[in-house]
Amino acid sequence: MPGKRVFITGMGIISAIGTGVGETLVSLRNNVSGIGSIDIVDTLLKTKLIAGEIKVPNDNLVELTGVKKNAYYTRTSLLGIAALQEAMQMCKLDPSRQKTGFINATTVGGMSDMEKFYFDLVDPTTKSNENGLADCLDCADCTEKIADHFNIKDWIATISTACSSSANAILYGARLIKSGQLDVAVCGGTDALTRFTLNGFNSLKNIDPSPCMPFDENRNGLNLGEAAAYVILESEEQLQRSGNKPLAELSGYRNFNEAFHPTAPSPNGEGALTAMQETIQMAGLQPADISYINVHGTATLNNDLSEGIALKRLFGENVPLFSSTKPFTGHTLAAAGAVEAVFALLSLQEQIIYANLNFKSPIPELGLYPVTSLQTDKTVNHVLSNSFGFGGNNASLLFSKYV
Amino acid sequence: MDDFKKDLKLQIIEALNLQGMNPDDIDNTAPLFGEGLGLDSIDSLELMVLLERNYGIKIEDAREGRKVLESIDAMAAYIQANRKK
Amino acid sequence: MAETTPAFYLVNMFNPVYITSARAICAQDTFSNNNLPEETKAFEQNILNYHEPDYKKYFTIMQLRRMTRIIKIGLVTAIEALKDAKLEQPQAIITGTAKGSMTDTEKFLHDIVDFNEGTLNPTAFIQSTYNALNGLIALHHNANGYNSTYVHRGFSLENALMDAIMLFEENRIENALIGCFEEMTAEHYELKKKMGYWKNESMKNIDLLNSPTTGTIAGEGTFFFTLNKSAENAIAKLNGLRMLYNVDEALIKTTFKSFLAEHNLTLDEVDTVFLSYNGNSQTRHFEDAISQQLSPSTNQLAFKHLCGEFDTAAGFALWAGAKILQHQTIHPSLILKKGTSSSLKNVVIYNQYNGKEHAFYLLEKI
Repeated sequence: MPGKRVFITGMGIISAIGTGVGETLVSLRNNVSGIGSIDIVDTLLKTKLIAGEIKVPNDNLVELTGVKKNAYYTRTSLLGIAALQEAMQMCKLDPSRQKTGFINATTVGGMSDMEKFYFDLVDPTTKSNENGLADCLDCADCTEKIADHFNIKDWIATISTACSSSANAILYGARLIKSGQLDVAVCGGTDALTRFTLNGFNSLKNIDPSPCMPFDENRNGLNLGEAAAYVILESEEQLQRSGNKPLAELSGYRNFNEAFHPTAPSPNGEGALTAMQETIQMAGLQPADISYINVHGTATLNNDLSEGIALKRLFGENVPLFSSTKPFTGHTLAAAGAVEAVFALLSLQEQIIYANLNFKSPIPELGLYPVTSLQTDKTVNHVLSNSFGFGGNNASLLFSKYV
Repeated sequence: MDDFKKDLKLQIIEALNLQGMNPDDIDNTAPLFGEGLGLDSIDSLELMVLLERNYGIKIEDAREGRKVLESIDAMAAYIQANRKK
Repeated sequence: MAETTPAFYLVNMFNPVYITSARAICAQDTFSNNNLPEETKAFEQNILNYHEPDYKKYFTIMQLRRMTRIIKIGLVTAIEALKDAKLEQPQAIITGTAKGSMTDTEKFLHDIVDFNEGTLNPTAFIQSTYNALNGLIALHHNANGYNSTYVHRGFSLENALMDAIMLFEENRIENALIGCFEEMTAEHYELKKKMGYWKNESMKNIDLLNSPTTGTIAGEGTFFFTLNKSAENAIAKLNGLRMLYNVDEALIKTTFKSFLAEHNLTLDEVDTVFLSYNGNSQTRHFEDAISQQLSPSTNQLAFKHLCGEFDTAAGFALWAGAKILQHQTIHPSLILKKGTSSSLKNVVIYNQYNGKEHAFYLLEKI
C-alpha cells in the first residue's frame, strides 16, 4: 500500500532465553535454548513436560519493574512492563506530546495468577478480593496496567487471535499510524505460562515432552513458553520530531484467514501462502528478495507440513534461508509474533540468521532443510516473519533494513 | 456384542454431544471420520478421553488413535481386547 | 484539568461507512422482529439473561455438537445479520468481546481440577479462545479474508469498528461483518460481586436509572452489523467514532463538543443521544456531564436498564440507534427525557464502561 512508511525505533523482550535484548542475543548466537523444567507454574504436568519458562519469580519482576504495590500485577502484566521498559528506554518518547497508542496482545490475560485463586474467588462464602485480583482474569487488565505504568492514553487495544495475536497487534498499530490516528504505536504481546494453557495444549495432544523439532521428519509437537515483547512504531514525520533512529522499516504485513478448521491449518498451506505472498507484494518486493524467513514452525505435525508446502508453493526451488526459533523460547502464543519481530530486528541489525535447533532430517514430503547453525556471513536485508494460529488466523510481517 | 456396540454408541452420542441422534443412526461399519459420521480430529481427541475414562485405555499417539477409532466395529473390538475396566 | 483539548486529540476524520444490517440478541426479545418488542420485559433480579432463540432451525446435530451458549448465540446473530444484508461471504470478520465464552473457560478450569490434570476434553479449551467464534463464523460462511478479535472491555467493539473503517480506507474491502458478544455466568457474577460491582439490593430493571446507590445490574448481549463502503440498501451510516481512555468528566465534556464540531453539528442539531447510565451513583457524573449540556430539542435515551451492564453493551446502543434511524421512530422504553426535535437525522452514542473506557459514536440517517 502506498502512503506513509512505518519505522521501528525501539524493542524490548523478556523470554526464557533472556531478560532484555543483550541476553537474548547471547543465547541466540550460542544456540542456548531456554526450554527446560517447569519450576514456577504450579502444575502436575511439570513431571511430564518441559517448557520455556522465564526463571524470574514474580517478586523479582516486581522489583525489576518498580510497579506500585497498591494494585495487583499479574505475571502477564509484570512481564509486559519488564519488556516494554527496555523498548521505551531505547528511544525517546513522550506520550504526553505525541499521539501514542498501546496495542497489546494476550491469549489468556491474567490466568497465570487467577488460576491459583479462582475457586476461592468464585466461592460465595469467601470474602477476599485482595488488591482487586478478581478483575485480572480478562485480557484487558494487563493492557491497562502496562499502559498506565507508561502513561500511554491515546489509543488502547488488546487483540486475541491465538498464536497470531501480537503479529496482528503490530500490523494494527502500523495501520493506525498510516491512517493518521497515531504518531507512535507501541505494539506487542505478553503471555505468562499457565496451568490452563499447558493442560489445554496437552489435551490437544500436540505437546512434545522432549525439546521440539521444527521441520523435522520426527517432530512430535510443540513446547510452550512464556514471554513478552514489544516494538515501537513511528511514522516518518514523527521520526523528525523525535529524532529517533530507526532500527528497521516495517515494510509489509498481511492478515489472512483461511476458514478451514477450528484448529488445523489447511493441508495445502493456502492461508500461509496468501499471507506471505501479499506481505511481500505490499513491500513492492519479489520472493527472491527475502533474505531470511523466521517461520511459525511450531513443530506440530500439521503446522510444519502446511507451512512448508506454502513455502514451496511461493518460492519454488529457491526457498530462502529459514528457521524456527521456537526451540529457543518455546511457543509463546500471543507474544510469539512480537518475540519473533524482535528476532527479525536483531537479524537485520547483527546480520545473523539463527539456527533451527534440534533439526536432524527433513520432512519427506517437503525435503526442506532449515538453517541448522548460526549464519554470520549472509547479507540480511529483508526478514519475513510468520505467525499462524487457531481458527485459521494467519499473519505475516516483513522487516527491512533501514536505508 | 450388539448390546455392547449400542452402549458404546450411546456413550459416543453423550461424549460428543450429538443431541437428538440415536444409536441406530450410526452404522457399525461406516467410517466415523470424514465421509461416514463426519467426525474430525477434535472428536477423535474426545473419543480418546472416553476410552480412558470409561475403559481405562490410554492412547498417547493421535495417529494410533485414529486407527482404533475407524468405525464402531473397530472401536468395539479394540476395547474388548484392551479394556482395563 | 483545563477545559481545552490538547492539540493532538484532534483525530483524523474518516469517510462514513454504511450499516446495511443490524441484529441483536439480548435480555429483551430483540431477535424475533429485529426491534424492541412492544412490551419490554421487566426483571426483578439483578441479572438480565439472554432471551435465547431456537437454534435447531439454524444448525444440524453435527454442527451443534461443540457449540456452547455464546457461540450459538453469536453465530445465529451473525447469520441473520449477513442474511439481512444478502451477504454470503463478508470480506472481513472482526469481533469484539471482553470475556469470550466464559462457560468454556470456566469448564476447562474445573476440568483441570476435577480430572487432576489428566486426559482432558480439548473442546472447552479450544472454545475458550477469544477468537473461536470469529473462526466459526468464517468456517460457516466459508469466508476467507481479514479476521481479527479485540478483547478490550469497553473498547472491544470500538476497535473492531475502527479496524473495519481503516480497511475501507485502505481499499482492502467493500464489506465487513462486525460484532460483539458477551455472556454472564454465575461464577463471573460472583467474581464481580467481590469487586462490589453489582447492586447489593435487588433491583427492578425499570427503576435502575434513578437508583441512588452504587453498583449496577448484570446483562448479556450479542450484536452483529454488516458494513458497506457504498450507501446502497443501507439503514444508517456511521460518521464518527472516538475513544477516550481514563479521562475525567471535563475532558468528556470538551471532547463531546469537539466531536460534534468536527462533524459540523451544533448542540441544537443533535436529535438523539444515547447515554450509558447504568444506575451506578459513582459513575453517573460522566453521563450527567453530557446530559447537562444538551439542548431541549435533543431526545435523551438510555439503554442499560433494558439489557443490563456488560463490557460491550455499547453494541445495544449501536443496534438501537441504527433501528431508530431506519424506522424513524424511538421506542418509548428507551426515552429518558423527550426532546422537542421533530426530526431523527442523527444519533450520538456516549458509552462509558467502568468509568475508564469512554466512546462516542455518531450515526446519521441515510
